Amino acid sequence: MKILLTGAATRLGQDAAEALRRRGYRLRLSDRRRRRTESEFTQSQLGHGRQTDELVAGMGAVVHLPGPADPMAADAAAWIDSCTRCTYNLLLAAVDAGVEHMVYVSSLDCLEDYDPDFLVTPSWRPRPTTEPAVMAPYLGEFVAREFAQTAQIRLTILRLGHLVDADGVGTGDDLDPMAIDPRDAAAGICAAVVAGDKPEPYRLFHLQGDFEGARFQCGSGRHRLAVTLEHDFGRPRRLPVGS
Amino acid sequence: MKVCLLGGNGQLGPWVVSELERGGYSLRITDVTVPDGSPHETMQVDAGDLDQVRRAGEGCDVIVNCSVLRPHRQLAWNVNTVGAYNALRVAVDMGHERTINTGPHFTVTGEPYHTYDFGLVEEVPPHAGTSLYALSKSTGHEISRLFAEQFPIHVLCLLFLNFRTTDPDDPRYGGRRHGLIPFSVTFPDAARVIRCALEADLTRLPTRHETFFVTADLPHGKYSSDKARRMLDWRAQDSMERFYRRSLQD
Repeated sequence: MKILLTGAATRLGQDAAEALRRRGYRLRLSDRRRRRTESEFTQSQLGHGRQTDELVAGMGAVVHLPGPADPMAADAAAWIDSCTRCTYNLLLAAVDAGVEHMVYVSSLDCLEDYDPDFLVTPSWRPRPTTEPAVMAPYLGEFVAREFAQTAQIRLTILRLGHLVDADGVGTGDDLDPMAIDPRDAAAGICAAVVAGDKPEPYRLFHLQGDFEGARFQCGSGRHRLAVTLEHDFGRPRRLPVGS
Repeated sequence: MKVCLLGGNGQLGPWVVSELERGGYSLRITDVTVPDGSPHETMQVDAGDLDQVRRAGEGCDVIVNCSVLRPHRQLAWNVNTVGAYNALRVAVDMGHERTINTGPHFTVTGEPYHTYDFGLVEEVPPHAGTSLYALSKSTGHEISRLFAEQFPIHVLCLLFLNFRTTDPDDPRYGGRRHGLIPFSVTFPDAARVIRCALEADLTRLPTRHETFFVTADLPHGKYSSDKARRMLDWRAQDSMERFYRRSLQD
C-alpha cells in the first residue's frame, strides 16, 4: 500500500517516514516547505486546487501531520487555517480519490486543562485553551470527525504528547511530563496505519511516553495499537506495591 | 451603546441596521464593501484580518458578527472560521460583556441531523456535515464556545437559514411552488432577534455560550424557536401561513 505523509519535513515527519518505510509501505512525502530527499516528494500548501487532488491520487491511506510551516512564527490565522481549511481540502481530495483511511495526528494539549489527578482517557471531552497552537489541532479533529461520521472515510486520530528527544535528556534533567520521544511517536503513527486495516470507521488514541511522572496514562492506547515504546527517559515507571 | 457590525452590508446587515437605528444604537457598519451614503460610521473591514477587526472594534461596546462567505474554499474558512476567532479575540481583549454571532442552522444541525431528524433543539452536539459553508461556520461556532468557556464573555449565537421579505413584489419574498423550508423567518424578524440579543438579560442565560434557532413558528415539527422566546423574549411577528396553508394559496 502507498501512503501520503504530510508534514514530512518536520522531525516527526522524518521519523514517521522511516518507521513506515521499515514496515514496507511505499511513501509519497509532502510538506509546506521544500525538503531534500531521495524519496518521492511534493511541496504542497494543501490548497483546494488540482495539486491536492494529484497529491492523494493512488494512495491507500493518508497520514496528516497538520500545522503551519513555521510553528514558532505562526500567528493565530496561520494555525487555524493550516489545521482546518487545509485538513478539509486534504479530506475532500482523499474522499474523491477513494482513499480509505486517514490518520490525523493531533495533540494531547487539548486535555491539559484537566486536574492532573484525573485519569484522562480518549473518552473525556477535549478542553483546549484558545491559544492557537493548542486550539487549532483540536479544530482540525473537529473538521475531520465530520468526514468519518458521514462515513466518507475511516479516520484514526492520534493525540501525541510533546516531542522530546530522549538522547538529549539526562536522568537528572527536568522532563516535560507530556514528553514522548519522536521515534516512539513515529512508531505510534505506523501502528495507527496498520490498525487502520480494521473496518472501524473512527478510532481515537492517546500516546505519550511511559515513564515515572508521565502526565497521561496511555496504556490502553498502546495496547490497542500494539505499539511498544522504547524510550522512558531513564525513569522507568515504578510498579505499584504488591504487583 | 455603540455596536460594531461585521458583515453590515451583506444579506441581513441592512435589516439589522434599520432595526438598531430604531433602537437608538450608535453604529459602526463594517464590511469588505461598505454601503454608499449611510448616515452611520462605516469602515472597510475584512473579518478574516485580525488587525482590521481590532480597528473596527475600537471604541465599540459590542460586536455583532453577521459576516459570512459561502462558496469559496479559501475565503469561506477565512471569514467563517478565522473571522469568528478574530471577533471573539477582539471582544475579549476589549472587555466586552457579550458578543453576537450568527450563522446557518447547519452550524449545529447539519445534514446528518437535518436529513433524518425532527424535534431538533439547539442543545444537540454540533454536527455540520462536510459541506463547506456549514463546516466552516460550525468550526467558528466551536471557537466561540471555547472563548465563552474560558473568558468572562457571553456569546449569543443566532442561527438562521431561509430569509423572506414581507413584500410580495420583492424577489426575496419567495415562491410557494416548492413549499417552505422548515427553518424560515422574515428579514425584519431576523433583525429583531439581533436587537433582542443585544438587550437580553444575561443573568437569565444558563451558560455564557447559548445558541438560538431563529425561525418563524412553523407546524413542521422539525425546528422550534421556543428557546429564543423564553430567553430572548423574541417571537416572530410575521406569519408565514400563506406559504403552507392550502386555503391561503392564490
